[in-house]
Amino acid sequence: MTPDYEIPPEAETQLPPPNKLTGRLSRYLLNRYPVWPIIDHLSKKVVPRHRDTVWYNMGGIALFFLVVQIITGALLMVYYRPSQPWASVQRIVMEVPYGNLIRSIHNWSANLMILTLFLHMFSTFFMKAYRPPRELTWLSGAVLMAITLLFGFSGYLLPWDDLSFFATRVGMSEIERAPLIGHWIAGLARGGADVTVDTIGRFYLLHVMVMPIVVLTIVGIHLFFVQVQGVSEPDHFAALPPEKKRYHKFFTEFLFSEAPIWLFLSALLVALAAAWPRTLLPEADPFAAAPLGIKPEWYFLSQFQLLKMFPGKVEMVGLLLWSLIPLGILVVAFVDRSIPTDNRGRWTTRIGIVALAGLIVYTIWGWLP
Amino acid sequence: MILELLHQPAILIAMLPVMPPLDPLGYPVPPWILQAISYLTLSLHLLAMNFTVGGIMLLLWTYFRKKPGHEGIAYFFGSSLPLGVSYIITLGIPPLLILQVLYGQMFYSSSVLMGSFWIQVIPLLIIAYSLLYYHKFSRAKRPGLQWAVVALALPIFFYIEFIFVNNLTLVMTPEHWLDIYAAHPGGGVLTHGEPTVHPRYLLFIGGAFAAAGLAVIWRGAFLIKWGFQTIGRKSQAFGFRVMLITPVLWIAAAIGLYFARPANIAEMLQARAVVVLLVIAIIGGIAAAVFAFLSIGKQKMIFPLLASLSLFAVVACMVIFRDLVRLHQLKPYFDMSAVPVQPQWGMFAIFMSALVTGVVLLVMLSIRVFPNLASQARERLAKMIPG
Amino acid sequence: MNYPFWDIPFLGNGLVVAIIAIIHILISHLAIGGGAFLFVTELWSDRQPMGQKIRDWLHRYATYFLVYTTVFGAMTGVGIWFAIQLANPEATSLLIHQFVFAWATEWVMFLGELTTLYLYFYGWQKNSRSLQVFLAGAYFVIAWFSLFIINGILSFMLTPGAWQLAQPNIFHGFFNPGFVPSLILRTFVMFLIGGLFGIIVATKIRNDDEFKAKIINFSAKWVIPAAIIVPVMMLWYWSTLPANTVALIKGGAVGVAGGKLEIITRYFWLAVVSGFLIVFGTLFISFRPQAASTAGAIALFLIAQLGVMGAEFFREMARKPYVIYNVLYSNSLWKYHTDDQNYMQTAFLDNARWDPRPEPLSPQHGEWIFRLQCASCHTRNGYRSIAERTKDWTAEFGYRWFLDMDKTGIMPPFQGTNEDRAALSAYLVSLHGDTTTAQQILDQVEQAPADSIANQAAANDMIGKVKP
Repeated sequence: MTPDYEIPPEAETQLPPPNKLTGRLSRYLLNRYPVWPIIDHLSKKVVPRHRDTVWYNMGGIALFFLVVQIITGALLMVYYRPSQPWASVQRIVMEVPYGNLIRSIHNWSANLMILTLFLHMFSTFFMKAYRPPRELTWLSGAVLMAITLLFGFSGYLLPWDDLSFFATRVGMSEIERAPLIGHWIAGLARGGADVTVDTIGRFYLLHVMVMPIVVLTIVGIHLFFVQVQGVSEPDHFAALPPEKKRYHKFFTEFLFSEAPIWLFLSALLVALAAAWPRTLLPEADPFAAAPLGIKPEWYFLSQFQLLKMFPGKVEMVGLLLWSLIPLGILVVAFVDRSIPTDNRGRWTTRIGIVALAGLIVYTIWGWLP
Repeated sequence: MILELLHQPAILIAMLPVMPPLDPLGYPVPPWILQAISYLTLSLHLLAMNFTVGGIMLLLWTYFRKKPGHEGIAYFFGSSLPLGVSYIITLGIPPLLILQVLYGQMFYSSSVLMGSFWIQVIPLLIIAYSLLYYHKFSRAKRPGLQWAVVALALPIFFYIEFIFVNNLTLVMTPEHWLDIYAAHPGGGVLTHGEPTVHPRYLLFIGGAFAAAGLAVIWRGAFLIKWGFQTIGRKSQAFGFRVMLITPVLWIAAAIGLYFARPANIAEMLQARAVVVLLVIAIIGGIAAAVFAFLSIGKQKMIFPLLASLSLFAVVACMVIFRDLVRLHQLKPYFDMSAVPVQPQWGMFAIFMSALVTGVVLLVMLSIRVFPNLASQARERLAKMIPG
Repeated sequence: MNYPFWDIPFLGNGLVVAIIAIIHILISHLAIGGGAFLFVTELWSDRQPMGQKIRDWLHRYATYFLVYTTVFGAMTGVGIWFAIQLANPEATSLLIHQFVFAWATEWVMFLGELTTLYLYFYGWQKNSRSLQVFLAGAYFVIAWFSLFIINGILSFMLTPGAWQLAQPNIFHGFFNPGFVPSLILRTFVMFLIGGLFGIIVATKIRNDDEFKAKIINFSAKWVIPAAIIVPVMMLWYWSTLPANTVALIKGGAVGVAGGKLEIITRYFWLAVVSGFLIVFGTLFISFRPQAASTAGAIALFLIAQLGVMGAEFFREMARKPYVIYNVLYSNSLWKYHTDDQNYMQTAFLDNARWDPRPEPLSPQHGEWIFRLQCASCHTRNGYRSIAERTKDWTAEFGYRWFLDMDKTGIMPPFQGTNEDRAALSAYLVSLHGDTTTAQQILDQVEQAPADSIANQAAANDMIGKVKP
């Protein structure tokens, strides 16, 4: 007789009845994999219900867009050739059935994912979800944000059209300006002194293999942290007496209420791809002059604009100013720790508002011709 | 035969090269039928519009004056204004439809010349309509700022009326079109310096008091009938005083129109039809005032009814007169009698039978439901008003 | 060109019509589907033990319904009318003169809808059960007839069937090939939308999960008939589409002719995908109705809005290059004129009435031809940008291209003389900085005889590179 694991008695009452298929299946699995404590813990996971509950959706939405990227990215990989970048993308757009649609969805989903991540980052920031015991959740999220931006940057080059090439070249020259290691990192990323087809090889590897593995791992860690610790409660909710606190159960209510939103976002992606498909400009000509007014994608515009304000000799000032933001993101979880919030916490919020306002202003400023 | 229809008589083309040609399909019935339907529905539309605009003004007035009985009047208008707007819109459809059939080439030209000003009517009306509904459904919870919500709707309606007056005046002055379009090659002109616009506009605004005042008189009659003697009488007296503002404004508008009249109008004004219309209008106006006065203190509905019919007659005369002026002014460029008629009697019959059936059905249903609505209003009043 | 042109920079006047129409269609379909919902729910409530509770909930539905449909529905419907009379007066005039009594009958329906809805809504406390049910039913039947009428006119524009301009017969035009499939299709979509709205209002039921689940399950059932009937009707509708349109749609799926033809296919797929997502989402919600949130229900409703956007854009584009198929082109050129070769060679600005008589061959000459013959579909730098599409043109190429532009299948033929073509081409290439004048084009052309076959090949070659 093979030893079976015993199902705990409290589980028996919560599982579906043994005469039903789901009941039999769950008992079959639980006899072999003693995971009842995990399931029990997860089923008790709750989401606080308050006026800011809608922001709790943001992480799930970002995850949805990531899944869309993986699927559409895989489909694009069927036809994309890093040795013939522009020609293969042109073939996707012009010849492959629904290629244009898939490519446009991939592009729109990338933009919406980054936008959602900004919303997710700022909403968790202002709800102060980074406070103990959630510092590592916040840090892993910061890393995920950086990786996503790199996804955007690396994927942007792959079509090898005028816009991709020159935007990447501009972006690389910005990286070069970083003190000490800038030149080395830029050279490593480019595969040389300038952006060439070798750069595509590196970016492609990063974009389709290295970063997906890393991001899936870190997303797994991030979600694991959230599952184990539960969803954070903002101060105004935590201060309520226990009988006034209302919760959704995560694994049925909240998830099911989120799902139609994901369906809507699917339709939205198709609509955006229908109305504003991604164009393919002529193939990049490295020897031509850069098109006038070349700019990076919108999520890099604020840095771009900020650094433009400090040209030449004073560029160190601009770099230092800009580096305050990633620095701030990294340290905030260790600086603002008090629950409920204290004076330091209120100042953190004010600095955050200034940073957000600055981000928006500089992005718009950078976008204007 | 159609292809012949497409070429207007050469003389008309020579008069105004910019005038678009007639529609190839001509008129679907002899034009007098369409004109008659238009006169009826346009008069109703104007009365609904006057009721709504006057109602907003009276709502604000009674809200701020806060005399006894005023709160009820404000509540009455707050409840009925959204319905007023919906009937403005619905009753405006047939006149606009018929305007486009009879005067299409003039109306489309003038509308495009106005361009984005014309389309502004739509979002503005949505906003004003929403404001009135918002007021209605949330006034109990937030009585303080409700007046602001309604007050925002008033300039919107004034502006929309101004747009309409300008468009329909531009219809009558094709001689200006090419210059206007040359100066604004994509359309986009609100007003074009035509002197009759402002007196006409005053006619539109002026009617608001008569219509809203009459509505308050009706309300008063029902109140008396339901046993609320004092506030009913006050309501009627207030309504009558409000009504008297209209003749003042209309006389001022008439004087303005006289001074702004186009040079060639004199001959038309002597036509018998015009004199008859003016006489009926004046008699109607006096009758409306007299019947309104006679309504005060009484619960009989006959007096407000006669006052309403008189007011309707006045408005209808103004509408008909306006159409005659329009035909006269367009004479060098457009001859309604020269437009071929390709009859669609079958469709006309379908429409008329639908209209008759529809109106009969709606009247019957209304008769069934009104007693319920009346008793609801009565119960609400009994709770609010002691004795 | 008989009428002045309404210029909306960047968007183009056609998009103004589209935006208003897309908003309107969702609301108007709710107005009718919701009417059916009110009627059926009234009847259903009489057979349930908790009938009064259901009717109390139904009154909430009716409140949102009333405000949403009367304010936004009626106004955007009138808005379409305002917008089309500005964007294409010629077509509007033709439709009005042909269908005025159909529209007048539709107006009677509007009057009936409004009044029965008010009587139903405001009398809900005191009206007898039978009166309430009758009012709800009357509202639905009257509202459905307004759909019946507008559907005839709308489908006429794409598939006029046996209707002829020379011998117009309103019944031929009204009962056209596309009439029945679109009528049935729209009716069932309306039921779907009425049900989705019910789900939204049902999510506002608090602290009574069992009742909430009951109402959501009832509302979700309204999606099922559409899931079955709509695909069938789409196949029927497809069979009535003009051959040119079908070729455009199919050619767009694999970009044989390049980006610009794909747009109609993309919108078609948006409608199809939205349909699937709604069905899937409704099944999902029915699986666990207690968990349905208002945000989620609104999300489903918004999918319907996107689906409407796809379907209506598709339907409008299917008519290209006509606004009334085989009768009137989108730029207000009449088909009977374009069949007349003599007319087609006359000077365009002689036929147009609203130009300020610019100097022949001047830049203004070209600009006015663009404004009155092309700008109804193309903006300069915005939607369907003409500058973008001609940025690789030489002046001489443009001059020749106009000769065969109707062969693309989505453009009308060019009406005008050689001078007109030269002026227009000079204007278009000036948008990307080429300063060739119209006179220079004519001089160049005189020296090199026109070779139509070679030019056709060059034109075909260009088609593949035109952007969507």
